[in-house]
Amino acid sequence: MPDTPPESNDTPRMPPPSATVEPFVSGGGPPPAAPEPPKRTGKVVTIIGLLILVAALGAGAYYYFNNGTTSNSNTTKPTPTPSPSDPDSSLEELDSSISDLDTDLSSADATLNDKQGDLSE
Amino acid sequence: MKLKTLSRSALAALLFAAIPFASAIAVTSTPAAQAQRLTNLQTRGTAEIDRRLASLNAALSKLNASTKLSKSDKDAVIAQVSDEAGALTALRTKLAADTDLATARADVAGIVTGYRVYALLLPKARLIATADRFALVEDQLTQLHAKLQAKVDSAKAGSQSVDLIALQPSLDDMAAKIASAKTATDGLVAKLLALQPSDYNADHTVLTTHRQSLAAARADIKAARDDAKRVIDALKAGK
Repeated sequence: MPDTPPESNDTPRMPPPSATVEPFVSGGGPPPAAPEPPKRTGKVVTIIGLLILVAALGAGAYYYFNNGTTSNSNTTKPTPTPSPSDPDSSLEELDSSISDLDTDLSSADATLNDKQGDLSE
Repeated sequence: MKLKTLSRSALAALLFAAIPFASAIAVTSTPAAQAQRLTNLQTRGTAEIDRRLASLNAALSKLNASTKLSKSDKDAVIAQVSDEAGALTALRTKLAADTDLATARADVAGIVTGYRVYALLLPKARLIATADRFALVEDQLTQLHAKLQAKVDSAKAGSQSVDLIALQPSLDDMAAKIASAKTATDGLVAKLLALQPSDYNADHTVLTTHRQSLAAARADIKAARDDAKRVIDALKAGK
């Protein structure tokens, strides 16, 4: 004999507990896998990239503030030359040099006339 | 009256009588006096050497910092100044160790005649730097002359309304003045470098001659510059 009571149409029937809960719709695929641990290689690449960027910015700034030359205080910066076809700028440069020349001549004269001390020469 | 005459006679006798004592004191103090004179001479000589060393070191600093001198001239002048400073330092040591007056006197005299720091070396270094500047200006003038000649030639070809007849003589004069300046300064640095204290001792005007060469070159440079200005102004007016 079966254990279940005979069913009749008049008896209200409670739905089974499983019917009150919305059934999980899986879409037919397998259940989602557990989240993977974060990828370390990606982070390392990002950090290296940032470091390269910072280094490039630093080098750029250094280059910019050193006027486009490698920093060496002993090297003489080339004097800007005037436009080769402009006699006016050449004349200005010449006048400046002649002025320096006159200063040098005055200094030479001062040294020539410098009679020093008791043992003057 | 009698009293006055008497007191004068007494004073004269007293002084006369004191003469032998004074001589004796002088004779006995001679070595001490000589030692004092030696010390004084050494002190004075050392001070003179130190003054010269300070001047030479100041000149060396300026020479090392100079960007106007050509490298070969700079090296040559620096070598001469350094050598002189080294020799004076050695003389300083020798003078301090002198024990007799005659040697010390000769060493002190040698500070001047053997080195001629103020009369020759320092003015020489100045004149060499100035001569280098002349060479630079002469090169600039030569380049400017070439530019102006090209402009005038171009104006001639283009039949511009420039008074070309008036310009060419100015350019020719400019070239002549540049050549004259170069002749005056040519080889001057080598001649200056070769000068020694003995040359100055023999002839105190050795530097004056070279200074006059620079003065002549300066006059030529001014004339050449004025020629250039005249040509530039004329070219501008003709445009």
